[in-house]
Amino acid sequence: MPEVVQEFTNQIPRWSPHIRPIRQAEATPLQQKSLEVTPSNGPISDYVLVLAHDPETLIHRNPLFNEIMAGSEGGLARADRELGAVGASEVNRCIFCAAVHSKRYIELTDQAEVIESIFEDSDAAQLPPREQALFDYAVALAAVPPQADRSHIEALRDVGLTDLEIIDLTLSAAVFCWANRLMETLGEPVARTAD
Amino acid sequence: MTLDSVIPRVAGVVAGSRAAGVLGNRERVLELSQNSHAALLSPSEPGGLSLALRAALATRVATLNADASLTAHYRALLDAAGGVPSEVLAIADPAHAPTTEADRWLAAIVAHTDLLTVAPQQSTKATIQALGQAGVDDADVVRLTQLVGFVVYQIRFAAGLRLISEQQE
Repeated sequence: MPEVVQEFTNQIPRWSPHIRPIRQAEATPLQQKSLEVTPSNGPISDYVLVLAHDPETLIHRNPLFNEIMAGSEGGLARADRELGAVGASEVNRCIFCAAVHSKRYIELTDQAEVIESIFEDSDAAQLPPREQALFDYAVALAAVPPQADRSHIEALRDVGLTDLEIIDLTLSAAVFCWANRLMETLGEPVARTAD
Repeated sequence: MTLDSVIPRVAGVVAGSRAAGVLGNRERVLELSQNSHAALLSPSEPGGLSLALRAALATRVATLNADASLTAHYRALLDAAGGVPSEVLAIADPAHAPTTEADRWLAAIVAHTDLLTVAPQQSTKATIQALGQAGVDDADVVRLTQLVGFVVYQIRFAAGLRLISEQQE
């Protein structure tokens, strides 16, 4: 049996579902339609096929996720949205989401040391000022109840974020508080076996 | 401009404000968020999760997140449902949890809602299997997870809007 991945990594694990994915061949017309847009426009994965048990929601959720992470013209840079995703995934300890989005962050910024520090020290990570302000806000927002306050907004303004950029960061952390709950409860990350 | 949709409304965003200006650039996000709200709170195929149960669970999640205005929104939705069984009304309050003896299915739904809200990282394969053993079918597990995930998202989006508005004075 493949080993469940328990620690943060930027090596993307395999996702093993706890709920039986729908069979695409047996999908209803609404389920088929809900599979037309996938997260980050990736392949139709087991994750998406599990979510297709609720096509009425999925049909809006995937486009919303993509709009927040990669759409939404202007506003916050794509890499900074990934940092918001990593912050939320760190709080919720979603190993799979953290792996995918830390890898993407490193690809976009070449700042592997930011991710290393987050994986090493969690909420207490010491980062360069701009990254620190973004990460701290995402972490505070992801807490239950949310702990983000005026001081976080001031820190974001101090490093130059506009209101639109702050809302884009809010959205990426918020949509990951949602995504983490799907990914880490409906299945689990397992080590990839050598092919 | 969609300031009358749920998130700007519970965040208290008023026309002409700084937050309204920002949202003017994020119309598609607002629209898809509102569509998600409709899909989760008033779906045409609710499966095993009635509309009243969904409103009660959403009230519970909003309360656990200390969001008074979103709690009031879902409470109003629940009150508007009418003819709601008392055990469903009761679970809107996180202080109340049905016992397994009284209703195994509902007790499992409520316990999983709380876990998903406050400590999703503690859910394991055994947690999901236990839901199945309590009679919660696969599609309802997915519906419930989406419902809680969405409300948790909505609360944080609204929190960000309130925070940028606070800075206006």
